[in-house]
Amino acid sequence: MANTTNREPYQQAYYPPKPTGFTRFMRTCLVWQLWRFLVINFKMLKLIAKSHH
Amino acid sequence: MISKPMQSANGTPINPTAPRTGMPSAAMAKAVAMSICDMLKGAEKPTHTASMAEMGAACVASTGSHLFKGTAATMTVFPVVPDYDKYPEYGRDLDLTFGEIGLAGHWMKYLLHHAFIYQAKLRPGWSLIPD
Repeated sequence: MANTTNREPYQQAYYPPKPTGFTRFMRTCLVWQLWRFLVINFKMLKLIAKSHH
Repeated sequence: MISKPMQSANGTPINPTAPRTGMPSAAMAKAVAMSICDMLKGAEKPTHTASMAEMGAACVASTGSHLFKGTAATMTVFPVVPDYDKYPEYGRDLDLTFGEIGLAGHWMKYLLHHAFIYQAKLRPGWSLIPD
């Protein structure tokens, strides 16, 4: 392939970002997760309602 | 087009395929089942459709099952096939296309698990549960 230029080895930037301590805390913070649970439920219901099937 | 056909560095084609499992497949199966029902009652052709250009999909992948310390990755996409006429920038509704990791996802997975089993057992009101 003549137009293939992306041949350099993997670099740090290609890996997923590492979560900070605060981010990891928020993932299991009960109050915040309760709120996110309501938001995710609402979004999923909206998604189902918008799907035409 | 679901996504752009690509090629690997040595020329192997990398093509998109239609989902065979998960929420879009379930929506298609439901449309087929409802059409068969209507056709048995006299309809001449299928009465339901399930275009992936008009449906969304959600996925919850568990990453720990503890009720208070567990987490799950929750992701949704709408529509499954990008619609650049309706959503010019990315082809998708960015309010309904998101992903996050957290305990809320695990609770969601737990509820979905029990809701699916409830539906599969045809318990009272099973058809009222959104799927």
